Amino acid sequence: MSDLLFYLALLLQLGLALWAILATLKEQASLRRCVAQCEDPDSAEKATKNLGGMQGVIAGEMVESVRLRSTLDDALVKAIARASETPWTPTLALVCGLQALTVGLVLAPASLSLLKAAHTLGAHAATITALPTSSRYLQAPLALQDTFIGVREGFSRTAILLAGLAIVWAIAWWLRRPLAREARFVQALLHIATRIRPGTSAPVAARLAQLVAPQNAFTRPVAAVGIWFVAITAGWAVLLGTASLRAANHTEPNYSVWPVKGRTAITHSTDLKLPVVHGGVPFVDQGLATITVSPQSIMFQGRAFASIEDGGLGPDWPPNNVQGMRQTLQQSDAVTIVADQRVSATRALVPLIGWLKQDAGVKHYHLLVSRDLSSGAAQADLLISASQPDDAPGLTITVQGKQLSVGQTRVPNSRSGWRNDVRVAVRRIDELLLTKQRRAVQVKLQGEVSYQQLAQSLGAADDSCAGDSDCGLPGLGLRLVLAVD
Amino acid sequence: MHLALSDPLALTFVALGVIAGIALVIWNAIRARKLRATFNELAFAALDGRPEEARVQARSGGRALGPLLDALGGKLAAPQTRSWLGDALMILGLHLPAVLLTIYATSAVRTVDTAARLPAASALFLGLAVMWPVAFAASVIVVSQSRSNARALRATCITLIAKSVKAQVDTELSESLRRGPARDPRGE
Repeated sequence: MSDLLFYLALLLQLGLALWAILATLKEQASLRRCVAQCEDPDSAEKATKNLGGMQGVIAGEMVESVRLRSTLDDALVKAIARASETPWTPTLALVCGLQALTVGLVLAPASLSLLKAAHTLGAHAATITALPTSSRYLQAPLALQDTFIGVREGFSRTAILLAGLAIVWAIAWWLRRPLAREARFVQALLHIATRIRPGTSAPVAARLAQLVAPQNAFTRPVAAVGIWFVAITAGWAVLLGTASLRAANHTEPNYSVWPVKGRTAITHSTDLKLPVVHGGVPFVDQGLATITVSPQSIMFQGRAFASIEDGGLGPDWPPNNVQGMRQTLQQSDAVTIVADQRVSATRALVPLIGWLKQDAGVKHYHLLVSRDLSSGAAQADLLISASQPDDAPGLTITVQGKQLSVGQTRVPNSRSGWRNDVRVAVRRIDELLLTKQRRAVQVKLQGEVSYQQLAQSLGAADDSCAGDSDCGLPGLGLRLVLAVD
Repeated sequence: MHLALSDPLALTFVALGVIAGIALVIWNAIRARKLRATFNELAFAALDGRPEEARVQARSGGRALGPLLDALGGKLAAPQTRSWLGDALMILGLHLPAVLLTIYATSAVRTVDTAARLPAASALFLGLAVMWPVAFAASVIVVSQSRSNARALRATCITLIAKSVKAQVDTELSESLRRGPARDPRGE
């Protein structure tokens, strides 16, 4: 239906443009022929009859007046006044109807796609809102994707038709507007008058024609089309500038990110680089104890309590005199770990988490990562648990230096598209995603693994976007369990 | 589609947009008809030998009759073209409900109340799908009506200007006859 209307509108525009050009050429030829045939009042009477329409009537009346010994000046003035009274267009109702039809056809692709989007939203609303929040973000784009692609296509087609309409309008305005047709006709009347009464003066008609002759310069329609195209291009630029996020998610992510204010609350060295990954849910909890692991030291509330050497724990591990810290940690449900991407997960992060679990009884950890959205960066976390789950894990992910095992699937991380392989392997297991009692994902490390590698691997597993770029959607919210024993 | 119709405020904006479009077209048509009747009446009065009366009426008729007032005053100039400002304001007014709906729905979509987001988004789509063609169609009709009106005014002005031109040409002719044939200064 939409395709049919689009091509129908294109055909209509092409037809209108051709009609405007051909009708003008025909009118000009007819006027030229009439002028050429007018040699005296008798021949002029016959020639003007061939003009047809209001032009024939007005020119015929002028010639008839001249024939009946009326002065040429009076006859010409009367004809010019009659020409200015002639609408030169079909009836106003017909013009308005045609214009409304054209506008309706031009806007039809966008309007139909919007109607379809409204209908689809209504049809899927109950299903989508019944899902848990993380699944909602996963399922909604899949259900609505085609509709929103349709909206984009609808607007593209309407933009093309609007551009076409601007060109057709400019041609019609230049060639077929009443003033232009009147000007051509008055010019022909003056030529007829000079041919049927050569040497006769017509001072009033000449001065009147000079006064009221409309200008038919091409500059105004060209300027109007230029402004039109600039406006369309500006609208297109605005849409394009905001489309990368809306392509997959029609609203910008407006969830809280950490820290909302006072970014200096967590103190770490300026050279600390967080891993950048696609996955992870937005970090919203601001009341957690935070441990920062920089390439030089491990800090708690801004104070170093252990050193890092060559990415691993230093010789002063395990730390002493941490009674105050231990008390604070014991009161916390979870600990936030802000670790530099160069730190070793095997030699620093896992022993640190093991020590925190053993010494302070901390069970849950937020591993902070950075998400580079098109509209800015967001702090997101990979929620990971250090205690063994009560139920059997639904999947085991083993991270090694150069490869990753997701269940039975082995994915070399040097291969391009490895993230997609991990995503596919995770999404195949429904128990990890859609049920209320989600099964856990066991995470094991083998050999030397950097924190960057660990975060990338877990981020790829937790990613809810369809493509390789970050689409702005939060992660799946997997129940990750790290083996620290 | 019932989801889109469940937001009363959005529905109000849509109804307002549609009614505004139809009402403005009808109002503009009535206004155009009245103006044309006034042009004809004033032109008839002027040609009937009552130019002062026509001028007084044109002066009290507002800015729309400005070109006619000039023509009645005997000003020998092309009739002024009608300003596009009035049409532009009307077109802006026609699109205002759609803008209001967009602002309302966009802010509703961004609220934390997740239950209100889907109806707002759905109402925005439905509303724009209906209001956009109505507003555009009403805009082109309003512009067409105004252009037709301007053409009728121009025709009336030309009838009056023709009379003034003729009077001036006659005056110039009688003046030159009164002065007699011009002498060639080289012959003296």
